[in-house]
Amino acid sequence: MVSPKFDPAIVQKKMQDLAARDAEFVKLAEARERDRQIAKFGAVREYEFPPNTSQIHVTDWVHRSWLRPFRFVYRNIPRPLRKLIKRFSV
Amino acid sequence: MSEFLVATDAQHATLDDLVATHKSLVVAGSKDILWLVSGALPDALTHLQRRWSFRRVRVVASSQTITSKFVIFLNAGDALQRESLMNVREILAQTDRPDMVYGDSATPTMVKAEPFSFVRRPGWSPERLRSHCYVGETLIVAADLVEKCGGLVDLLNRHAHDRALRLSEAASKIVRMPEVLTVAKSGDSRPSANLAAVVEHCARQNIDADCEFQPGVPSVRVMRKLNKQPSVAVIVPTRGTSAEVFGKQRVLVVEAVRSLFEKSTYQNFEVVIVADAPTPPSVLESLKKIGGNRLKVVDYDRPFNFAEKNNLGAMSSESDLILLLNDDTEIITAEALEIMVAMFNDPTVGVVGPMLLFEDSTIQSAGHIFSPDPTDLYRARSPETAGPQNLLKVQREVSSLIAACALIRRDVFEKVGGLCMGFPGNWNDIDFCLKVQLAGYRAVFTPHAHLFHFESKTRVAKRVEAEVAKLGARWGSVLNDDPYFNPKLQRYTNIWKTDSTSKQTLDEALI
Repeated sequence: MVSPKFDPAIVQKKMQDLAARDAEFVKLAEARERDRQIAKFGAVREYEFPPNTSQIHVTDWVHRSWLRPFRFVYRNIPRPLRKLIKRFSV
Repeated sequence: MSEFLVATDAQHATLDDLVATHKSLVVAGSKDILWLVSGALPDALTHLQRRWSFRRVRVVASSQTITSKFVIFLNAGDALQRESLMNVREILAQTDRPDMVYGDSATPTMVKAEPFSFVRRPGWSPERLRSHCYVGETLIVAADLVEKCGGLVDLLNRHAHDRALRLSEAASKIVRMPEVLTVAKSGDSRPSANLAAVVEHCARQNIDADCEFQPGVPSVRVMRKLNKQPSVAVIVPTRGTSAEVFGKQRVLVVEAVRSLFEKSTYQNFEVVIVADAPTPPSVLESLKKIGGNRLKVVDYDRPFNFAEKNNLGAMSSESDLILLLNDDTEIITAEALEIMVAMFNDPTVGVVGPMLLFEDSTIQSAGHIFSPDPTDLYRARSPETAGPQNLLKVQREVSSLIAACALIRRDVFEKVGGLCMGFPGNWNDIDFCLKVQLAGYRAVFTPHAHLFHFESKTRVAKRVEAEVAKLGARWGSVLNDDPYFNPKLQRYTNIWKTDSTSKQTLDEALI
């Protein structure tokens, strides 16, 4: 296949149309992101990569023997209460 | 009316397997479960019916009609994770209710320090499901969807891959639950695949393709037939740089274009070279010699802007498809273009990317993941790497693909406004792919087409904070929660690694 040789003015016009459509998509994406942020955080804030919260250190202290009864109780209390404790502890 | 009906094919199950499953149902988090144990021996059935379950589980041998809202397909011997149905209930209570849910699973190991190995699954990926049953064998499905797909008994007797394909065809919303749903009995956590199921699926979905079983993986390769030959404009931005490749000095763009003309079995293309002002005339002469009248040179004399150069090349051509190609590439698979072009038989595909390899044949890019820093998946790993769940061996949807080689439908390219010129160097490809998906099209990675990308292995994209903020202002929530990643995987790394089993230190992970 061979494309015809376009007039530079036509190419320029196409580039402007492209930029205009890109701007529309940017607007759409930013509005969607704003709505999501407001729903999640209640405000719009500047984006930065979140801190690394991966569990990359094994938390050994929870397995100490004297904690066993506390773990047992925690695991067997009703789920909503457990969720509440977890939320406050974090 | 019970809340969940658990359906298990017990024809080849032992009593121990059934008891293990029964135990898990008692503590699964629902007070009213009807368990259909199909094909069980009468003795085993009686044993199960007599087991104490706090009246939470009722065991039946057959069920003519589904009397529950949801059906759970569960293998004999597999156990539902304790209280997992509570998480399921939360998802099903959403206003926009899904009619099919799948989740992560765990398999027991013999290692005391890590008693389970986890299978973390990506979000809904129809392209990948055609290759193998990546959703796992435990599915939670709305009762009306089960009826629509042939009924409970019919589905229960089918292969898990067949069942998942049939259900997915009729489902309106499929959701991945990023929590452990089942503890599988089987030691092999690789997804199963069934050739006949995929062939039938393709017939039902009018996908004109040849299907081939790949026993080593295992998976089914769906090779779409190329019934027409759409035209491709290959856009190559360059400044005529030379570099040493395979021990020899070469002009990168010349060899990239030569490999296309000489190696590619697909020839309905033209090449548009977008040349910076300092490009040596001898390079342009060589290119014209190789490409003849199928090569066009567009001059570019403004400050470097990768996005603008590609847009300019695309707008200076007329074709059905646009291939963005870096000048430091070389085709490896002769059929690479054909494989990628054929993907566009599906009108929902907007952009396709191949597997790119470094000069030493290690992986350069197998699609991006946002973890949340956008990164090339399995960069610098061996090309033989299959990845967990054979991730790198199957075609799959991705959130983003590298623009070093990406094939795009022209109408989609124009519809979304091409590459954003506000990202002159980095991340214009990520922004573009996310725009494509916002417009309702899919970005697909194929591991069956290979190209070299002679990028420096040690090159690290310079991160500009203003660009991070700009990308985040548009796509922050997608970056933080990539639908084709899993929130339970380790972050700030380029591999698919479960969080809790990691041995990496924080510093290692951040490098």
